[in-house]
Amino acid sequence: MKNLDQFVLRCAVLLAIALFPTGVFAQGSEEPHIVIDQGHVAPMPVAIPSFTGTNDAESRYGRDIASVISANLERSGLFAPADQRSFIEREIEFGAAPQFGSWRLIRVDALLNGRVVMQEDGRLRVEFFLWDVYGEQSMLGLQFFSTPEGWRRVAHLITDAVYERLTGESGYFDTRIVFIAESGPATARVKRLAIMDQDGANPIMLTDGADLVLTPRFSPTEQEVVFLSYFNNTPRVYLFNIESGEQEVVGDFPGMTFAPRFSPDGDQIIMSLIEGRDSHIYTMDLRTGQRRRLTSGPDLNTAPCFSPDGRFITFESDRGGSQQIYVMDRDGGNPHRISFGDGRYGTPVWSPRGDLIAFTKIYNGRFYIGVMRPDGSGERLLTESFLDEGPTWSPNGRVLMFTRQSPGRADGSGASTRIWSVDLTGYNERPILTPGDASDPAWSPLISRMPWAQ
Amino acid sequence: MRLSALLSALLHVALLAAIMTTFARSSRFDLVATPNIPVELLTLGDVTNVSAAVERTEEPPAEEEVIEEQPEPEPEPEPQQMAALPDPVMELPPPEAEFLPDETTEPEPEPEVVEPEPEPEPEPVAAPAVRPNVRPEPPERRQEFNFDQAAALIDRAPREEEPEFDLNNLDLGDTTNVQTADQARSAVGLGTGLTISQTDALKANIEACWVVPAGAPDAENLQINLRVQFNPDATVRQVDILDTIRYNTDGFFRAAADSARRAVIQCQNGTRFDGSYRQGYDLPREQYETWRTVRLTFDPQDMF
Repeated sequence: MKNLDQFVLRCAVLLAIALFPTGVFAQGSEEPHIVIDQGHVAPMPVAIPSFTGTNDAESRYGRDIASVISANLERSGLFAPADQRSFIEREIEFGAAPQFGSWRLIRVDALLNGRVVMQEDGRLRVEFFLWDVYGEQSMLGLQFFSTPEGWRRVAHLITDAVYERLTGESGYFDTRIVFIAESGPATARVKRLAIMDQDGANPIMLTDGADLVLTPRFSPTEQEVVFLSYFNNTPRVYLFNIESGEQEVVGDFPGMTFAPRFSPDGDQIIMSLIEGRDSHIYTMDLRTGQRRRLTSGPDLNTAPCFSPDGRFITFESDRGGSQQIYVMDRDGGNPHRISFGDGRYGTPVWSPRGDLIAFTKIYNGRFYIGVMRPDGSGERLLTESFLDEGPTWSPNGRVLMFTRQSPGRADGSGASTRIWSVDLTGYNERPILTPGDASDPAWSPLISRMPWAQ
Repeated sequence: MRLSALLSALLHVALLAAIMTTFARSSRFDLVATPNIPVELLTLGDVTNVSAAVERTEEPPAEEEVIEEQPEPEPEPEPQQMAALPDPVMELPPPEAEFLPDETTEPEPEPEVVEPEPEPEPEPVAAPAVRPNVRPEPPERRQEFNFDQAAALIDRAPREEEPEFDLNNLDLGDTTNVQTADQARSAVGLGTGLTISQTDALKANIEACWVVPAGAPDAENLQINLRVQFNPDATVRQVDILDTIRYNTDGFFRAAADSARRAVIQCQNGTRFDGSYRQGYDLPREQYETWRTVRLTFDPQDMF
């Protein structure tokens, strides 16, 4: 009994000791609390010195890689690469911490320090550290191996890694764009399927222009493209794997004007087909070929696109009396209009992030590319011109590419059709360098999902 | 008869060939494959020369001396404030380089222990005996606000430093005594928190450097809480990101938290609106105990 009392007493003492500091600490933790609720939006200043090498070849690759990374980051609108002439620390020992103070003097927030090594096996080894100049710590260190001709892709991959570490969102630089390269007079336009890197580099013509090709669309999961062509005046849809070169005919679709889009899992395609004076939306199972009609009524329903979770479909329709954007369940149920602004709305495309729908708007004879939330709220117009249309999302849902046509002279000459990009702020609008006129861009998913991504 | 049959056969063959070539031309595109160049990826580790730097930095066992033994010569004093952070280079070898900086943000235990430098300014009440273990100090500060315990506070202050400070002996005509009383109050430092204007000044200083993470989804709800420890000269000693779990698992949060931390460090020195230069934040130095540790919440909600 006595032992029990002692035990209880000890427990009480221990409990008191344990609790007392806690209470004290809680009291003491009442430090001043300040809410910072106003900041500004500005590109992050970064320093990207040329990657170093021990001989001319390595140094040349190092310069080129740093240049591509710098251009990528600058083009994103979120970063402001510092002029290399302003650098104070000219040589940074790779792997050792840089002199952070000298980088703070030129007011950069992050420093990318890398080097290139030509290995004995002929491969290129490119490695880098990303430094937090103010936090004085390394944020990322990676190493890439590739054949020398792959240096540009390595640069894009490094950009993706840096972009993701500094913004929190996945990059979009290791991607490609499929588009329609146009040439020749307006009366005899030659349209060829072409592909290029997202920065316009490495353009390659995939077809010879003998046949008309239209509206390429990328699979969201594979490096595969569907596009529309004509066989015996009947629209025919092709599926093309740009990696292997394999192609197959998906089918003939009389009454089709746009190529279908893939479902998020890549198992289905969704499309619109003209039936008499109406147009309706169908899905088709790519394995069984089974089609299913989702809309009804005497309306024009077209340009369907799945939400990234596959649960909803957005499309344009004139069922309300004018061309507007609608959303319905994946089985066609619960269709409801989401666009209510002035003018007409079309070509809705759901963001891969799921938070926005991009569209083309026509109002007072002008064309706009804009975005709105899936419930129709928060409409923002990002671009305006004589003719902007056909938006396509970057895989991270932050940038849009679209076709912009400039007016020509009365005889039809002088007009040009180009691909432009704009980010979600609307301020970072740029033309994409293409070999001649170009239209109908389709943005690929990331070529490979690298392990740094969470 | 034979001739016509032969002709017919030839014509059929020609027709068939024409159909086949036409069909092949139209139904199958001459498409060019454009395979990607394969690239392999490794996180930086043993292969690089990082190991040399690792050896250098691993020697000091994360004690106060780490500050002096930073491998790179550091012209400015601020790096020392961040010296509690582990050397970056030694963080790289692990396969997931992204998580390297996390250690720097671990908040609780480190900060007080690592504080090496005895405060240059003689802080009448807070500093002297309690210095090795700072934890007990906050409670004292809390007591400041309790006017019921003001007597105990006054009792203790003279005991430690100014035994002659006695209300009975106070000569109101003597200006030096008036000063002493003032100092005693501010040195206790704890009777008042930051005033609105002081808070606003600190807020304005930091906001000037805060780049808001505009691109993140749901960015308006990305609140970042930091605990900032200041030096007596109002420069930053240490910044701790409080939600380390989210920092390690949410890329958007990590980028936003880095941005907030960067703003606090970046704007500790700067130029005032009147063009004068300030070293450290605009905080009343004599009330150091009041703002020695401050919690900051970066809330971009009103900006969207």
